[in-house]
Amino acid sequence: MPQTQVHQRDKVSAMDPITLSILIFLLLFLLLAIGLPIGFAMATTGFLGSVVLIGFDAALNLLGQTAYETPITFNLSVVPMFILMGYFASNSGLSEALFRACNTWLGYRRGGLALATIGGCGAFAAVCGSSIATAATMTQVALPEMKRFNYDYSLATGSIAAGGTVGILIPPSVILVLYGILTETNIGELFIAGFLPGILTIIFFMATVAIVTRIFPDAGPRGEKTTFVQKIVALKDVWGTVVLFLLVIGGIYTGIFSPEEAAGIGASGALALALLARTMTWSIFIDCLMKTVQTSAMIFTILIGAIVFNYFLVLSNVPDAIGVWIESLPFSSTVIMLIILLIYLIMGCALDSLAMILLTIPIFFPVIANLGFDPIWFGIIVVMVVELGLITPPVGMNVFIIKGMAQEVPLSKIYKGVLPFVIAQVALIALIVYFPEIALYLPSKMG
Amino acid sequence: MTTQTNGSLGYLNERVTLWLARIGSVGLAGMMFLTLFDVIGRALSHWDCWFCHPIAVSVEVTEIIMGMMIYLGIGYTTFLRGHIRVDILVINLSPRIQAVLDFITGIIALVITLLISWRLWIYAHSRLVNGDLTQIGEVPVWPYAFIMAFSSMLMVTSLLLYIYLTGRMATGIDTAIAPDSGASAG
Repeated sequence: MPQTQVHQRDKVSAMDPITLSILIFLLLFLLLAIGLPIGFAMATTGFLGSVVLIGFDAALNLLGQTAYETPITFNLSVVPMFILMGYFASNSGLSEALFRACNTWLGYRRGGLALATIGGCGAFAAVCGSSIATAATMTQVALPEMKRFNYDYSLATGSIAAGGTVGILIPPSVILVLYGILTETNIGELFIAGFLPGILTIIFFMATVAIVTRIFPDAGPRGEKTTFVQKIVALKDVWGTVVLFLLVIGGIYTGIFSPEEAAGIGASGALALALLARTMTWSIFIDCLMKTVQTSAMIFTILIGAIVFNYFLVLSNVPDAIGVWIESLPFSSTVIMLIILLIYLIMGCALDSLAMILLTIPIFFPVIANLGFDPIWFGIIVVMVVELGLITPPVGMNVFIIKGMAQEVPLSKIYKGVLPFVIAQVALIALIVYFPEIALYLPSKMG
Repeated sequence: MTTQTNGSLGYLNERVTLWLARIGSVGLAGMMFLTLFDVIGRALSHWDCWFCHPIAVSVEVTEIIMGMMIYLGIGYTTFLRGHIRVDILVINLSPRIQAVLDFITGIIALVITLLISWRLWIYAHSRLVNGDLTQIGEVPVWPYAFIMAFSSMLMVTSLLLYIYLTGRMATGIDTAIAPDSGASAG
């Protein structure tokens, strides 16, 4: 958060802050429902609520201060840089190379192309911080291949949609950056914490493909066999990605780079890889820059709205009140945690992932911190639950992206294909809730 | 994304926002290379050459460029309807009702945007009056604050255009067409 001090509360109105907050939340959901963009909706309602609590002038100051200071917050420079890195990587044929390499290694197995898709998604996620970008790129590369080999549409689209979700778990991750900024949690540690759960996701999803194709062998026929030499040759297109990932994440892990520096290095490195592969042209370069500017402007609009709304929540004392109320409940902290995760699952069915994090973290995070849960671990869990939201009906952004690029596949088929992966993901979340060490081991060893 | 360019004012708005975003993208490239050379310079700092040292002003220059870049891009993003919204509830309504709702949400967005833009002008003005300097480079802050304030006005003009277009559809002057949903990230 920008280093803004919230002004002393001198209440102008006599309205009970709890009643006011409920009204403001209702208004927020109404505005969201009629299609007001999320950032504007949060800024408007947060501003209105603050007007009631601290008066027009003070509320206006908060709004202006947030709008001015958020885009000049140094920590946030990782957001445009990692977005740029992702655009360079996806527009330079990197995803295709990764997919082909995975296919050379795994393609001969039952459901081989689906396995390669999951593997390609995981590798691509290592240079891209967005799930939607990962799913979109992989659809272009993997779907035509799976069609060619007569894959069942459900398995084909389901594996891309599910594989794409790891984009926000395997570092870098735009969502984890925003979580870190909002909760004042170390972004480097968050990134490192996402690594092992990300790898486990890949393993779980590959196991899912193996099980599905064992039950329905026709869903994913075997590909051609490859020789050992071919396998080694296939690695030549992949080493660059590995080096870049090791440089960026290794740099953060060992403490050689700050996350801000790592992001700049990552973007430059992705550009260098694309130049080496001779796939970068001047017009692609300009296009990547322009798209990054637009995506950044869009994310910062939501962020400014979320911060304004967060100020209102702080002024209203609602997070404290909720915290006190929850502690008075006769439940153990584990049960409360499960309830919060359930709320995320339900919200994830209707809300965009970014908006969901920015909207809920100011409310849930103080509760979680009070109950003694680790903030890094909670960040990873939240991201994994948000991943589920990306593939569950009715609003699964990844599913929509694939549907948009493969019009002939009915939505119901994609959701059917996604279902086994949803089960795998729920199992994995349960595992990490039960063994927080999976997420917390690597950060504890950081230099 | 819809790119309607009705009328010359709409065309002008598109060109201006596009060029501001292009200037922003130059800044973005600058941000990337600044970090790159800062890190390289630091890595070579035990050698003796003209770039073998970290760039002292890199943090504040990054902040300044980013602040300008976001507002330089925000007009074009608004023009392209690139802001994330929840469209699951409105998407099944008739285009005419959607246009009415778009008109209403456009006006709400306009009000909050006007407030923000106004405050940015006041911020820029007070930076000029106070003669604020950056901490290390000690250059005046006001020029970039004014660029932020000016570019934020293009968000206002893009919304005015949006209200005009959806208003015509809502009142039946133009045939209502369902808008495409915007971009998303996450």
